[in-house]
Amino acid sequence: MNTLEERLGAAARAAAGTVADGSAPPLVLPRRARRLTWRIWDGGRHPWLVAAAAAAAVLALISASVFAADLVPGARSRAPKPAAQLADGAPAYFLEFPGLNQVTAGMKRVAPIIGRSVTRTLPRKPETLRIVATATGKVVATIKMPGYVTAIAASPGAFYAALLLGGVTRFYEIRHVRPGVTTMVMLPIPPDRAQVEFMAASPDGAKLAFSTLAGRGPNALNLAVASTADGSEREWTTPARYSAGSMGPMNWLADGRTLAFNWSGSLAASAVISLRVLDTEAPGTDVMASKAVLPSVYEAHAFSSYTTLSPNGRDVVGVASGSRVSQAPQGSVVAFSTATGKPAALFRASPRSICFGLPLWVSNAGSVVLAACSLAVKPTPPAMQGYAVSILLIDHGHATRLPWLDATAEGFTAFP
Amino acid sequence: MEPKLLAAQGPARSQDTGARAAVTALYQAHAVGLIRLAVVMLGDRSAAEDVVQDAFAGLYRRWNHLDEHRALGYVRASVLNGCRSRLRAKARDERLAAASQATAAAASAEQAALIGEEHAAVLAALRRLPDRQREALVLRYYLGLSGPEIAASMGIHTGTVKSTTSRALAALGRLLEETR
Repeated sequence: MNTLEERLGAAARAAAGTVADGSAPPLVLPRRARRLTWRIWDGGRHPWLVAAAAAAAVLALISASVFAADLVPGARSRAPKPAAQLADGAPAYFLEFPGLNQVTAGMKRVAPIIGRSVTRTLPRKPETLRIVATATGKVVATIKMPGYVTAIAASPGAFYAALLLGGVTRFYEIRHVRPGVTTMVMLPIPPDRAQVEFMAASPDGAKLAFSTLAGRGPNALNLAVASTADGSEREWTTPARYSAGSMGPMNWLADGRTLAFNWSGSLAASAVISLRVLDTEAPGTDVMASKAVLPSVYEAHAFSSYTTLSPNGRDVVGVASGSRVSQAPQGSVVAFSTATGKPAALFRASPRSICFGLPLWVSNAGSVVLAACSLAVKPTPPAMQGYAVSILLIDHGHATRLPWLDATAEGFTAFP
Repeated sequence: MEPKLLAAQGPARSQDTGARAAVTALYQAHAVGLIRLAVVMLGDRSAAEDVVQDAFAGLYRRWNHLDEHRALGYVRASVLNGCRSRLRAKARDERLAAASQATAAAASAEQAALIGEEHAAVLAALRRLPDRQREALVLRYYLGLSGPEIAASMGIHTGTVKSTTSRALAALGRLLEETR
């Protein structure tokens, strides 16, 4: 045999030659090519969901991998429903995966929300997602998923869910088209056996970034970015010397190419959480080629949990672990300038109100934040230890409680 | 009144029929070629057929969002993605299950019997390369695609194709030397 190229070409042709002309099996196509919108109709008077009809519709459409979610009109009411005056830019809707936190006697509503996705034991039954209006708490759509939801994400135009079904992860795009019409379509991202742990959608919805719970290659693969249009993927692996580390929640910056992600464990001996930024269009496949943001602030343990980089990249927003570095009491929501490293308190905690976890949503400039906080309540219900968890809208230092989102504080959420 | 389900009607239905016909025609014209491509990548006829079926099903679902003239490129990229995913899953399974070594050995022996020891050795080395290198070599030396065509199929810059191919050939040579 001659050159390596010729040997390769000959070998490939020999392998291809085992497939005879005309031997392709018949093509089996799913039932529908388009994104469908199904509606439940009761004669034209009221749009009603009837459970059996919805279940039948969902089952039929799941088989085609493209289906519309069943809709629940007359959504459950949650507390009072003022039409909230939300800050400019606050997302109108968010995706919610309800009731994840552990609820045990005497500890109700005190389990922390650790991010927009959580590691957990999978339930026995397929699950339900909800699309909720931020200003009222009204559930505008309930979506019965055909498998186990392991992560959710949102862009201004759509929501996304990673689903584990039959041991394989698939990705779905969900759109709330208009009242009464919600669609869901399976994305062409190659299915994978690794469980997706954290996920974020780019601002234009063109890309999904996700981290996997288990390694997916010769090295431990931690991160992938996939096109929602054609499923093409780009992957980053973690060098073996960083194998003790793990990915955390992530978010895209407004430029649509820079991804900020939380990282637990680093070269430092302590398992400090840090924030790193990765240019997803730069060459390379090494996760740790990303850059650490304000490393001295993180190494001083300024934050109590995961953090978010504002979409404009100018502020790191999180909950303070104490006043030594952040100059605000523990449980305050603080923003550190990435340019100067100086902190600013967006919300100062008090003994009666302490925030925790990852901010649920951060505005482009980092000055408006939705955060979960423990608030002292009176009279004290015995099961709540005197506190209830609620969502606060923190707008340029002014905090407003959104009581209609109290129930949301017990689940996990994806805000665009 | 009993509720009833209303599906999309009229133009939507005709669009659906048109997409089905177009995708079926594309399949008839290119399925064998794409299965061959997947066989080269995977070494497994059954898995290759599944990957191609999935790619065309994906094409069908996205038909109304695609430029018809780029459909073949889309489906070829989907086949490459599918092969990548299969190879990853296979590698994981083989690492996890000791018993699979016997299965892999049997499959390898079967392939060698079909295409010859020399070709089987080259293909085995090819499948040990990183995804991008393997795909660049197959697109270049099996399909005979040009640099821009390879770049479009793999979603990389044209300038990267040459360097990737060059590195891949060097790596392939080293792997073949090791197995001598």
